[in-house]
Amino acid sequence: MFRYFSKNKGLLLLITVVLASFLIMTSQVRQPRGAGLAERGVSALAYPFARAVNIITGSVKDAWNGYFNLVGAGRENAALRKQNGALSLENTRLRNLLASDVRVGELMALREGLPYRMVPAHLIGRDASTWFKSAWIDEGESAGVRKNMPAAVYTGIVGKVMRTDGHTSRVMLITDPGSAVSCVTERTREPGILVGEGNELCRFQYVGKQADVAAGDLVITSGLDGVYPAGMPVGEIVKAVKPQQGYFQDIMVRPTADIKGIEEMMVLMYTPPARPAPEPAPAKKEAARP
Amino acid sequence: MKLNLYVFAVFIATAVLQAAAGDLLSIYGVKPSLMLIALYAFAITESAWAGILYGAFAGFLDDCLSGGYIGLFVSEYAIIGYLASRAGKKWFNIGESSNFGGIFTASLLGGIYTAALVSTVRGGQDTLYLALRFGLPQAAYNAFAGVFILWLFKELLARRVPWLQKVRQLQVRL
Repeated sequence: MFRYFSKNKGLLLLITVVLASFLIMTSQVRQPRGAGLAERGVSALAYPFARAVNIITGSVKDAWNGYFNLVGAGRENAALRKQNGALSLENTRLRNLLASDVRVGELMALREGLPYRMVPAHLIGRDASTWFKSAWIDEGESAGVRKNMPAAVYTGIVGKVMRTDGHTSRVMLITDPGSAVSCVTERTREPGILVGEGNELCRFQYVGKQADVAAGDLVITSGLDGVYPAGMPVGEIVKAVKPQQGYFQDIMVRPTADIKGIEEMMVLMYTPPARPAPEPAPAKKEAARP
Repeated sequence: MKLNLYVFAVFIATAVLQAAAGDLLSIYGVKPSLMLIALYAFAITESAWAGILYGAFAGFLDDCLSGGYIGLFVSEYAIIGYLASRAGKKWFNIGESSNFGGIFTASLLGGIYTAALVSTVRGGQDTLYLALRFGLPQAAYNAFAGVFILWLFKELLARRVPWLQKVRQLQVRL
């Protein structure tokens, strides 16, 4: 055995790395915590570069949109096309500025309509992997952002903060397969759990077959999960099927917030109402003796 | 053992690019793992030790910039780095069409491994479903993107950009 591993030191190193990874993973699963020193370091190192790449890709997107605006003008003569192109690019830039203003205005409206403080944040990046759906935002502990605070845009909730460090945070989006939000339908108050599907849709689980639920119904937060405030819009039911077998309906929900297109969001400084402490169990009465 | 310094710089740049702009390449929630492609490209030309260390470093960056658990991609990429370095000596070389199969297999194995770990850690999610929903499409996407990137690197960059040759000589001995 020893001789085998001394010949295959690479394999020994691999086993060591994998075992160490398993230990680290197990410790995180058992005791979820905030960002560790290493994560904070990588975030701090990557943040300015990611922000720069984000700005560059935004500009490329704008230019691309501007290019499509130019396609119609291609039939015109060269001078007109040139002029049209310049105007079109300028127009795109101004429209983006206006759209950004409108978005900020809408976020401000959300801020005024709710009874708790909010922190506006820009999106710096998305999840680096396909397996998880999270967003990286430019506000962290220094702005008062804490783990499990909900994030929203004016059209609905986006997700909850899962990790924070000094100046950035990571938000688990409601489309992440690990996300679970306690919700009810607005029309009939049917309760269920909204779970991410890993794409642009979510699944509304544990809604009984007899429940009155239909496509087009709005799904809102119930406030029972201790993370999201009650009554916030989450999504709209796009499909509700009652299968032949099983107890529950197969319901798909499209989030009301444009999860794929968000560029800004609000982190809600929401603390769920304290649950009443359980009443102490009554002392056992001594059995009546004859 | 020698480790190429530029590899670590490439991994950091890839991680930043993947986090900031990776979503532009997303198709129905699936995006290519540029990190895995970069790891494969470096590992097939290196020793098993280098493959594991490159993999662990690349995985660590991916772990920090994703919403998963630290250690998930470290272990996955270390295994892929090891396997790619072992297989690379026998079957694969940069610029060959066989890399399509190599990247696909590496991605698929990684996908099944991640699916098994995610379903175990999170619970309530089926390994087979996750592997088919995310692992398989990503493996196909990685294979196409990877072959294109490797071809681009070999044909267009490596031969015509002289400073790349110099950068590739920066090494550290362990």
